[in-house]
Amino acid sequence: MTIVGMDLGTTNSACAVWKDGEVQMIPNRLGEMLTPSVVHIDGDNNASVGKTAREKLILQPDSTTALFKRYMGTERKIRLNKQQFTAPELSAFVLRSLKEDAETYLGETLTEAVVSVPAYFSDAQRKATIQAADMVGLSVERLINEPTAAAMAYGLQDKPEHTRFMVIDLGGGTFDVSIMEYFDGVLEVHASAGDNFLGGEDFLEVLVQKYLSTLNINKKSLSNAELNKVYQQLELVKRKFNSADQVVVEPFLASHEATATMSFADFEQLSLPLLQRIQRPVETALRDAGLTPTDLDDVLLVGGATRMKFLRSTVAKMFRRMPSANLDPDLVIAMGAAIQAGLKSRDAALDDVVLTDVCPYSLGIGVHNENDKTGSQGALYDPIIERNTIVPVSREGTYYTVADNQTEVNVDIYQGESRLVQNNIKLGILKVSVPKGKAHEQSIVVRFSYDINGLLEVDVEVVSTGEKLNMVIQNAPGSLTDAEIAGSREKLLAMKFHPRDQEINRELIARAERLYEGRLSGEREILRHFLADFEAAIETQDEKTIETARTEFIAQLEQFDRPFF
Amino acid sequence: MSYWEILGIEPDSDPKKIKTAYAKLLKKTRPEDDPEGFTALHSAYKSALATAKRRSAAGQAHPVIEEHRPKSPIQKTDLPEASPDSPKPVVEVLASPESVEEQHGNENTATPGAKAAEPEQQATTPVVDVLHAPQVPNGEVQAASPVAREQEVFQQPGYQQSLGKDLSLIQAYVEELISSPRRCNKVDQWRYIETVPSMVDLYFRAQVSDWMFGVVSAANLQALQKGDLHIRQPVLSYLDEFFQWENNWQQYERGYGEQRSSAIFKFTTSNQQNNPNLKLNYFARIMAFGVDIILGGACLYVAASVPFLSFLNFAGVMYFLVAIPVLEASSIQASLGKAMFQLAVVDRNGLRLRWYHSFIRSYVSYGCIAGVKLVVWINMYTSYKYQMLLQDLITRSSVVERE
Repeated sequence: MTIVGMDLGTTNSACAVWKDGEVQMIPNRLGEMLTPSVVHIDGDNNASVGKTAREKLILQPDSTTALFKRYMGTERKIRLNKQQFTAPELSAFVLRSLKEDAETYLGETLTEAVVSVPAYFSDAQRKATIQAADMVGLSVERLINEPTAAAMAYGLQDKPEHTRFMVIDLGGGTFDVSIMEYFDGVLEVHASAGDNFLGGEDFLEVLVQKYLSTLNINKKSLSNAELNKVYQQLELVKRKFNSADQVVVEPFLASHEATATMSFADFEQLSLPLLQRIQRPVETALRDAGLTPTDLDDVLLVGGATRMKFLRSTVAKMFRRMPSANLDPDLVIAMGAAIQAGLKSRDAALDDVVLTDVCPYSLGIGVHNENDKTGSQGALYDPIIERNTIVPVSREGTYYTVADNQTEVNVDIYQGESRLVQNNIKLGILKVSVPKGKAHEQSIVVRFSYDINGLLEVDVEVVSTGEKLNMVIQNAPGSLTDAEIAGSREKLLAMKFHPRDQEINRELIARAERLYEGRLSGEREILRHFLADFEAAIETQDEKTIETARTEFIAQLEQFDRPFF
Repeated sequence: MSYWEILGIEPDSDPKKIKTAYAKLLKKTRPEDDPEGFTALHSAYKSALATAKRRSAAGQAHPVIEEHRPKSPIQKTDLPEASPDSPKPVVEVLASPESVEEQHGNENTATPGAKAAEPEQQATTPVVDVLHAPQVPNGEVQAASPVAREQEVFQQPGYQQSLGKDLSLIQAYVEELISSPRRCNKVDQWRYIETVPSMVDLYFRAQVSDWMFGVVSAANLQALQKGDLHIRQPVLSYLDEFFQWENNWQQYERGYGEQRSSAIFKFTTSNQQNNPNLKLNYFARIMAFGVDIILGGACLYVAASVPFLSFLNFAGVMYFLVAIPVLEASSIQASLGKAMFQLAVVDRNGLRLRWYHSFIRSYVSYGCIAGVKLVVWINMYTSYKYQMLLQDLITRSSVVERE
């Protein structure tokens, strides 16, 4: 039974497998390694995913969606063509597409996968990811943290003897930092920190705002289709900035004919607050690992957004050294996930590799705050398991009653770093009865056990009576019940997926339609012609005819369209 | 079993031996298969490492300093360019402002490929075009080279000097800021620290952060002993946000002591807008108000009915005009009614009100009560005179019965 590794990203997803002692990337139906995390649902409940769907972002913005990873672990619903979808459901579409590609590539049915998540993903976000996989019949027994995955890919590629390094992972929507040590086949994570709402898309947003204000365009006056077009064009500009100081953006919106000149210096200036946010997790991780920047042998950059020039130079300034990025930053996480999958299936080639990880958040309970006279602060937070403790871990703390004749103690369980529980995330509550007595006389022992899959178990013992209570934290806010998952699964089954082999044709047609929208009469006429010819060829259902027509069609489209990304 | 026995090595092994032993055992005690065994093995490993580290530190002259002082970056020589894939960044690429002008001219005639490829479509297609693109063999070299240039900068002794200069600049600026009570509570004044170029350097930033925590907490603690707060919430929140103090509160509490660190942390989070615990306490406040009215009102009533007790008239008025504000600014922090219902009056930092603050508070609340009465009277008058309420008159509309 093969287990694959999947990287479910904010902008792009990828899939890889450990086979014959090496990592093999699994190409999607278009023969590409990256599948954009975009979902499109048309009027007849036909779902499409990836590049085909991304072409529709401009033409049919109301039935296409992207960046839904940002809503994992929240209750937020996204509307597509009169239907409501949750983020795990949309992720399930992407996973299903990856799964089909992998099954075709491997020639067998898949039931298990290792899926990567940002290291700083919370409990609820992790569970949402597992549930998304569950909806398409994939059981995820282990989630791997993205920086850890990247480190595995690097560690096994270079096979250094002993090295300590930091992985900085700036993806489309999330930011992670991990400090690791690799020696004798042991990959030990020392500390992880991050920001779940910082990524390449935020830099793009800055650029879009600048563009709109330069041209004096009110964002609200643009239709969704126009807005998506603005984002796609400026993504191109963002990439151009890696080699240019100035980019002239010719008008591309029908309603605005002015040319805008975007300068790199402005972009850099406007991105400063975002770059500031990059420093914080880096500092936290170093502090937690008890290291100084020079203790690190290397700094690795991972994730598509680390291609940005000023990001590299900022990191260089922070560490007084040049970061390295030897592997493809877009694929390295999927590669690492595949290695973890190989580990899981006990592949002989990976026998001498062991991975140890940490829990990125502190876990603790609320305690009485005697300084809080006004009620504005609330209870204080007392961490039982401090962040960046190696997992699995089991720790306990002893707590006393605060009032005379107290008969009940509320054990409020929280995750987070703030001194005050009101700024942390509440995971659950246990109510414990204690015998009456003077204040500070009765005590309880609270034990937290955090396992390797991120499941927290809480045991409470009343010292005087020996009474024991146990609780497994499962349903954090935003996660789904079993019935809800079953419902989602049925909803997904009702969706028709296009047959795999037609995906190339569908992608080409979607592309031609997008081009058609953007042109004027003369060219439109030509494009319509090309399209009609191609569609006629598909109608014949003769593989050979279609093949010839497709080659021709691609050549025709190339004349009109430069490669988009 | 001692941790040396768990690891199966001699008690005085060096870190390298400890690691090898740990790695060997770990492969038989994987965390996913044997959580308990792994936990025991890992803690043995950590303890052994700590012991070995202490021992090697004890052998040195200044162990503690050696341990924590950042090594000079100048000594750092193993650079990552050694890897075969990364191109050797030798080309000086970023044109200086003057030469950009020249290049611009060149570009237009001499062309990047993308532009020449599709001259016809330019009028209608969305063309994104690069001007001023520096001429380099390929984009990769381009991306890497500014970084490479910066790297050289870090190795010059001048870099250390500029860090030192920036640090003393910040320290002088902040010390002056703190000494001026008028300026030190304006966030804008503090934003200067963002503009210091060395702030991007991790060592520098950590150094400034810890130093800043020290001076700000010291200033606040000193003021708090006099019952005041020197640097208040908006600035504290800004600094906390900028340096992520709260994220490392345990370390600061350990390093600076509970008293000093709470001189900062207690006041960073009292942001009233999104504070879920700040309640209006309707019931208790109305009841407390009622008690105060009865107390003061009783004086007035008695004075009016019993002629020779007319001095109570004065007492009733004085209760509202003087006693309440004084009580609320005293250590009781409440009027008699509020005290009865366990309420306390505080400012937005959760501290006791100053005298003048308390008087303003009381008189404003009487003003509000009088205002409500005034509006009631106006409404009575307008409804009598025009058969309309005040809002009907102002908006020129009215409410009628349905036919």
